[in-house]
Amino acid sequence: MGALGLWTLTAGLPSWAADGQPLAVVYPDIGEPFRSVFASIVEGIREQARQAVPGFGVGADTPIPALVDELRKREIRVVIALGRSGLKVAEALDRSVGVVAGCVLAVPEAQAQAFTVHSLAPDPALIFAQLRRMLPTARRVWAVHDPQQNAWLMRLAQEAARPLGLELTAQEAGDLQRATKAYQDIIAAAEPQRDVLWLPQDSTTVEEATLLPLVLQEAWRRKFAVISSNAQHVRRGALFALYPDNPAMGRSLAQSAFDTLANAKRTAHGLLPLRDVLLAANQRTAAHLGVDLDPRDQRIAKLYPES
Amino acid sequence: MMRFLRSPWPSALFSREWRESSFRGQLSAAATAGILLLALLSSVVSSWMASRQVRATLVEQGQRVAQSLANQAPLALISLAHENAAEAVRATLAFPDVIGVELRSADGQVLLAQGAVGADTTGLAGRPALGEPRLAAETDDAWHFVAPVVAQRNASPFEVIESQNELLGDVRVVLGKGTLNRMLAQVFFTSLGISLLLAVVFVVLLRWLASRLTRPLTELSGTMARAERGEPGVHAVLSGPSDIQQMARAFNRMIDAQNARGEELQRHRDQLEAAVLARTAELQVAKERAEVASAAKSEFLARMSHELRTPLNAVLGYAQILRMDEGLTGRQQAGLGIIQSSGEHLLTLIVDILDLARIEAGKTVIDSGPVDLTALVRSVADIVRVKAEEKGLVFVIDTDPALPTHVLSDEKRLRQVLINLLGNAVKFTQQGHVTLSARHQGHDAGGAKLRFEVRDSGVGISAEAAQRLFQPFEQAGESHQRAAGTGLGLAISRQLVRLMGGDVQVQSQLGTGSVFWFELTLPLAARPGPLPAATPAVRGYDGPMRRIVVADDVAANRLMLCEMLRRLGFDVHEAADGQQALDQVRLVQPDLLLMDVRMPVMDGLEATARLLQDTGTHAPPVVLVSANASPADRDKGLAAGAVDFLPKPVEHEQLLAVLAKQLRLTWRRA
Repeated sequence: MGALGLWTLTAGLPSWAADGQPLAVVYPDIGEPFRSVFASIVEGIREQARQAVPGFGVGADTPIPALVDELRKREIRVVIALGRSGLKVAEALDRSVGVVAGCVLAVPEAQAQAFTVHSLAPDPALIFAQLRRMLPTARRVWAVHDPQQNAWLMRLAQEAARPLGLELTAQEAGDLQRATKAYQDIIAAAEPQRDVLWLPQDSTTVEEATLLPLVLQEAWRRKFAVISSNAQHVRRGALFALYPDNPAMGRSLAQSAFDTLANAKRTAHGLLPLRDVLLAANQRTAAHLGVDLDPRDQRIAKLYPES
Repeated sequence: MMRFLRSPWPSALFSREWRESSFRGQLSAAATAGILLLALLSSVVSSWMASRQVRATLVEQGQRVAQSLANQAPLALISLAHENAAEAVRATLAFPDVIGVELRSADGQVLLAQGAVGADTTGLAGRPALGEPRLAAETDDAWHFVAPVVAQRNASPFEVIESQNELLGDVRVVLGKGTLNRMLAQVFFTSLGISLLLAVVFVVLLRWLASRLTRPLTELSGTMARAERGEPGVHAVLSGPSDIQQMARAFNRMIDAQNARGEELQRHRDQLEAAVLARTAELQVAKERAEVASAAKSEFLARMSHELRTPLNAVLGYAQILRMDEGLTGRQQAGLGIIQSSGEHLLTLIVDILDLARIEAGKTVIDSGPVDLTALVRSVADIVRVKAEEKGLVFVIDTDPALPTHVLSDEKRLRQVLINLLGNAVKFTQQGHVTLSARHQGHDAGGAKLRFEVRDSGVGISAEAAQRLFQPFEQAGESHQRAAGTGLGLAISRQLVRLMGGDVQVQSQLGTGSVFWFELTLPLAARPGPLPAATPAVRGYDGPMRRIVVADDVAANRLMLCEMLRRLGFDVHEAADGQQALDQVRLVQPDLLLMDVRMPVMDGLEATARLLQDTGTHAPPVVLVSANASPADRDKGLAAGAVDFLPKPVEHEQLLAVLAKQLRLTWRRA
C-alpha cells in the first residue's frame, strides 16, 4: 500500500487486516469539509460490515491502474466506490468485481446502468411527504432543473407527487439565463400557501451566489415556501430540507455491497434516490409562512436559526 | 551657391565666438553644458523609471477594478437587465481615472456602455472569454481592461460530471491615462527643477573656482593689454602657478628689450627731426626767394608787355589810319602793309610770351562754346594754304565725313594750335606736301573722340631733338637751318592741348618728315544760329555830330585814336591826363569820354570817380582804355564808374561796336 502511495485514511478508522476481505471502499482523498463526510460514511459502512473494510483514498495524482492491481491482488470482490473519484476507479475494475457506487450526483445514464448507484438526491417521495406534513395547504410544486442532471429524479418526483395530491411542474433549463427566466415566471405566478418551490441538487439551475438570494428574497416577500435538498439553503431561508444521514448512508451502502456479494447477478443496477435522510427546518421561515413548527420535534435534526 | 557657401554659418559663428572667449568662459561653458545635459538626462531617466512603476501600478489597479465590477455584474447579465449593475457601474465610474464602463453578454452584445468606451468595442476587446482580467488594449489616452463575468459553480466531489463555470459575458473598464501623464509631468519637472538647482549651485561654484584659478592669467593678460596700449613701465607681477610665473618673466624680459629698442629709436627720431627742421627752414627760404623771383618776373612781364604794346599801338594805329587814305600810291600801300604785318608779328610775339606766362601761372581758362569743325578746318586751311602754295607745296585737307558738325570747345585756342602746327609744317618743308587731317574715332562718355594730325614731308626731327621740341624757345635742327619764329609755338600748343584734355605727340625721322597729332574728347554741341555776314567799311554815322574827349598821356596813342575818330565824323578834343580830361569835360560837355587808365597827375580810374562825383547823372559815359586788359583790370574800371572797357591796341571793329552801343549810333557804310 505504502509503495503505491495509498494509505489508510481517516484518523478515526483503525488499520484493517490486509487479507481475506471481500469488501473495500474507495473514496476521494480531499480536504475538509468533504473529508469528514466521507469519514462518517466509511464509518457507517464499517459499522454495518462488522469487519475490517480496507479503504483507499484517491487523490488527484493517484495512479488508478496501480490501485486496480492492488484491489485485484487483495481479491476484493465488491468495491464500494464513493464520489467521483471512487466511480472512476470502479469503471477501471474488472467486470467480475462488484461495484456499489454512492455519494454521487448527476450520474450519466451509461454509468448508472453499469452499477448500483446510490444518489445523494433525497427521494422526492420523502420530500413531498414531509411537505404535506409541514404545509398541508400545499398543492403545486415547482422545480427548475437541468435535464442532463435531474431528468431521472423528476420522473420519480412526478410519480411521488400524484399520490400525495401534489402537482409537480418541472421546468427544464440548460443554462443559468433560462433558469433565471423560469424562476422569474414562477415567482410571478406563485400563490402563498399553495405553491411551493423545490430546489433540487442542480449545479446549472441553482446558482448560490446571485440567484439563490434573489429567489429566497422573493419567496419571503411573496410568502411562498421554498424547500430544498441542501441543509445550507434552510439556514439561508428555505422552509426545510432533507439532507443525507451519512452514517446511515454508509450502512445502506454496506448492506447493498453485501447484497451484491451474495447475489451479484440479481442485483438491480441503476440510480437509487437517497432514503437515509435527516430533516433541517427554519423556524423563522415557518413562522413567516404560518407553519406550525414544534422546535422539540425529534424528527428535526437541524433547526435554524441556531440559538 | 558660392555666396551661400561663404555666408557665415551659425556653427562658424559659434566656432569664432568660442575661439574668442576667455579660458574661464570656455571652462564655464563646457561645464555648464555638461551639467545641464546631465540634469536633463537624469530627469528623463527618472521620469521614465517612475512612469514604468506608475504604469504597472495603474494597470494592476485597472485589472482589480474590472474584476470587482465583474464580480458584481452576474445578475445584470443573467437577467440581461443592466439596472441590476447600475450601482456597481456608478461606483466603478466614481473610481479615479475610470472614464468608461461597458457590460457585454456572452454573445458579445453590449448591455450597457457609459463614459468614454469608444465606438469599436469588439475590435478592442474581442469576444467574451473565460480567463483572468486582462489589459485588452491600450491607446495613447487610455487602457481598456476586460474581465469575464462567470457564474461560479462550486466544485463538488459528488458530481460525476465536473461542472464548468458558466461565462455570462464580460465587463470592460476604460482607465484614462490622466494620472499617469500628470504624475509623469510632475516627476519630470520636479526632477528637472532639482537638477537645475543643483546645476546652478555647481556652476556658480565652478565659476568661483575658475576665477580663482585663472586670476593670475587674467592679470598677466591685463598687463599685456596695458603694454599693447603703449603704457610705459609696464611689468607683470610674478604670482600664481609656476608656468604662469614663467610666462610673466618672459613677458617682462620682452618688455625690457622693447623699451631699450624704443629708446634707441627715439634717439634716431630726434636726430632725424632736427635734420628735417633744418632742411625745411632752408627750403622755406628758397621757396620765398622763388616766389619773390616769380612775382618779380610776372611784374616784369606785365610792365614789359605794357611798355612794348604802347609804342606798338601807335605804329599799328597809324598804319591803319594811313591805309584808310585813298590817295596813297601802291608803293606807299605796300610799305604800310609791311609796317602793319611787322607790327602784328611783334604783337604776336608779345602775346605769345604773355600767353605762355599765363599758362604757366595757371591763369589761362578754356572758354568753351559751339565749334563748327568743318568750318574751323576750312578757315585754318585758307590761312595756311596761301603760304604753302607760295612755297610750291601740295596742301591736302583730309576731313572725316563722319566728323560731328558741332562740338563744344574753345575755338580760338583750337584754331591757334592748328595754325601753329600747320605753320611749323609749312615753315620746315621745302618740297613735297603738308596734310591736315581730322578724324572721328568714335564716342565715349565724354563725347566725340577726335584726332587732329599734321603731316609733312619736311626736314624731320631727330629723336634727341624731339625730346626738347616742346621746351620754350627751342627749335629743332641746326642753328643755320632755323626758321624765323619765337620758338614758343609748340610749347604753347602743347600746354593748350593739355588744358583741353589731350597732348601733342610727335613722330618723326630726319629727312623723311614729321607727324604731329593730338587727340581730344569733346562734347557734342547744338548748331548755333547763323553767323552775321561780313560788313562793308564804315564811312560815318547818321544824326548830328557827336563830341568825344580822348585822354591819354602818350601823345602817339592819343593822336592815333583822335585821328581814327575824326575820320568817322566825330568832334574830338584831347587831354594828356585825368585832370585835363575833367577840365575838358566841363569845357566842351562831350557825349563820351575815352580815357587811358595809366596817366600821370590823375589816372583814369580816379578821374572817372571824380567826374561821377562832380556831375552825378549828367556825367558823360566813360570808356576806359588800357594795355592791361585782364578781367581784374576791367572789373576795377567798371567799379570806378566806367560804362565800358577797351584793350590796347584798340581794334577798329571793337571801337565801332562800343561807340554804337554807348552813343546809340547807326553807322553809315560804303
